[in-house]
Amino acid sequence: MSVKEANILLGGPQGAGLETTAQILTSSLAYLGYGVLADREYYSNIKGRHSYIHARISAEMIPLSLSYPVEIVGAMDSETIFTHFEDLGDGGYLIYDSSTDNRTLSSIASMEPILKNRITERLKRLGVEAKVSSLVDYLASNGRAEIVALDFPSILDTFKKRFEPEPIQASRYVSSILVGAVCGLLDIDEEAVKYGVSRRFMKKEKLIEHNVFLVNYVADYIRENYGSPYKLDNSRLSLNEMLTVMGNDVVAMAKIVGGLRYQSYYPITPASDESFFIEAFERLEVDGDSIGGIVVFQTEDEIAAITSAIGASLTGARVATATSGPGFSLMVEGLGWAGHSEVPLVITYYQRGGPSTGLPTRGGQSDLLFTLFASHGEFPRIVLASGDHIEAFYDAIEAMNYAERYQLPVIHLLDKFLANSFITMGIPDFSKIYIDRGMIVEDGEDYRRYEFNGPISPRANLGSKAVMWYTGDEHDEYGHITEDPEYRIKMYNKRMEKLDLIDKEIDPEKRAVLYGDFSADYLLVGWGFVKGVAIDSINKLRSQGLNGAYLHLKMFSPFPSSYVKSIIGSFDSDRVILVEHNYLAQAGKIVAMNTGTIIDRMIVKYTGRPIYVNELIIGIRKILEGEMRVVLSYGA
Amino acid sequence: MEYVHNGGDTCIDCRYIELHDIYRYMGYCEVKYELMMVYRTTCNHFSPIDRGELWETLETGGWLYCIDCGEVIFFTDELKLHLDHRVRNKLFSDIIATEESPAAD
Repeated sequence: MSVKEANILLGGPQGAGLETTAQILTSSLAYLGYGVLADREYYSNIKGRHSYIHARISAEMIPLSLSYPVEIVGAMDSETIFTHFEDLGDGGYLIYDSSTDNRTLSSIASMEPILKNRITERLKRLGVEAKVSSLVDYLASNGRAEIVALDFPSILDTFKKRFEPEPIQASRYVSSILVGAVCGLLDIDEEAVKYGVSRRFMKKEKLIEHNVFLVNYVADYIRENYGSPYKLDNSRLSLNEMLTVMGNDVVAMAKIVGGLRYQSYYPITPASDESFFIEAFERLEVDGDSIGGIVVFQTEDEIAAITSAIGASLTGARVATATSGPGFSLMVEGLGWAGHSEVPLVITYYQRGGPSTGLPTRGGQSDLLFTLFASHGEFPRIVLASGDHIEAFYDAIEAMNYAERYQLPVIHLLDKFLANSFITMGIPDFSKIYIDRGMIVEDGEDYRRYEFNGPISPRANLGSKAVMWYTGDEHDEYGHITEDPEYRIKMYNKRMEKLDLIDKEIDPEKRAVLYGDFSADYLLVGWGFVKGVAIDSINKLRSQGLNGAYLHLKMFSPFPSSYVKSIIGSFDSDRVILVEHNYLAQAGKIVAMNTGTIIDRMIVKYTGRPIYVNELIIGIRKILEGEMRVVLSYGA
Repeated sequence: MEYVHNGGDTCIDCRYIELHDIYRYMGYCEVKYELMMVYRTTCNHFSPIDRGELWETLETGGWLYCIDCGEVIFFTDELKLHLDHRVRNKLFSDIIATEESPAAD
């Protein structure tokens, strides 16, 4: 007996081995060719608060979304059991540390009182004492769950008898117990475990030996005592090579492949990891030969991040800066300067829960309107949003191409859900990649930076033979300041006509993608990381007799108005539903602004947690039964 | 905490043990330089923490930490609220948090 898919949730204290657990498991599963999507949810503190990894593993596809309930809950601490016991599906497996049996809910210092109260009330209603052993008994006695009780200290004691553990690696050993238990239940073989552990700890042989032993020791115990109820089918994914990456990594890789030469940033969640990744590859080598370098510059703030990127761009470097909402707020004046001065610039914008500091480590899509309208005055910009890791790879390169071809700022919108989720994916198709640096000139003879030969003037770099002036004021063709009304109109038009040019040159079907067809019973309209959950929910509902389609909006400026209008217009208005991670359903406002079509049915979520298939399906049904607005809230 | 104290001289109550800041069933022994499962082990170096010393430690060191409540104690009035708890002036952190914590604010 084997399964095609497994959903797991692993929880524990922030900064105490959970990330290691996820990385080892993902690598081991990738080694066996399985598709994995794993979301990481964590508090905005350094250490100790509850975090968890929610993963979906498939033998048939690379998962696009997550869903509850899960088949396995693995708990590194008692807080995980109290927080997630209802996320476990009937007959699922709870792995926990039985040495915590006497732990009471009230004694968990790291849990927010508001959540503690909610769980206390829930347990009262269930007639369960707020203590680990009581809750475990409740789950076991109702047949709701199989209990995998592991005495973590005893296992570690056994380990100690054989090896000399390194105290500074203490949490690693705890995470390996959990990895072992999951490997046992999924029947992941020793070779894959060794690969996963080795990849995580690279050349630290002792650490590899210790953790491989622990994982296999626990996995064997599980197989012997519980079998492998979620033994996965052999993978049917036909990928020869796989990447195990987070969204941040994918974008960083794309920028390197796409010819980035300067990246600036000021540290901010969830954007920083991208810059750290690029920094690790600052010196570019191919087959041992140096082919140049990338400057990664951590500036004193985001104002300096954007202005230094503008400066680097003017010298001819291919540039980007990466940030999140609060950082972009500081970048706004620089954005306007870049737009006005026609500077190629990519801003990789990872949305998180706002406003202000908001939910720094949680997700959201509430900055769409901000990116479209940020800065005073009018200037052309491209706002491009990616829906999954693979899209993000190609879009990150395309963003740099657009920025240089059209000489303007490109805002590449991503979100925390994508940035911080691990995925296994195939190697991108390099034949699809091209690099377009736009119109560049070297000759300095009577050079006019803003020549009136169309929306795009030839671009020369600072340091070349050409002479040019950049001021931030309105200017003539050379860049000299002018307030002449006729020049104002000509220069204003030249800039703004870029939008028409882009609209003409970039295929609308690349800017908005329809999944499904016009015969569908309903149409979901969304963007960003909604893509996966929308498509998966539609597929689930199709098996229940409801045929749906999904319109994935990718470019918001310039907006593919006619194309989107024609698609939405093909469906009855009461069958068109916005799905977004914000309160206003902001993409709906942009659709209305550009097409005149008002979509008044919406499913929204703004808890900072991803939208899950189980809740979106319920939301879709409610809308189709007549509700106008559904607010989703699932997830701890 | 997770364990009922068995009344014996286990490492959990030994002054030479630095308890792990997250997984408190583990600790680092300053005498043996080893990772210990503190509720179940002991040795002939065992030396109990003198609770009376905590007042002086608070005064000289400026802080204590209540493991049961997960709270830092700065003042004697606060310490009075934790007299029955496991209070320490040293904890042991491993290197994992530096690798796994979010890299920014």
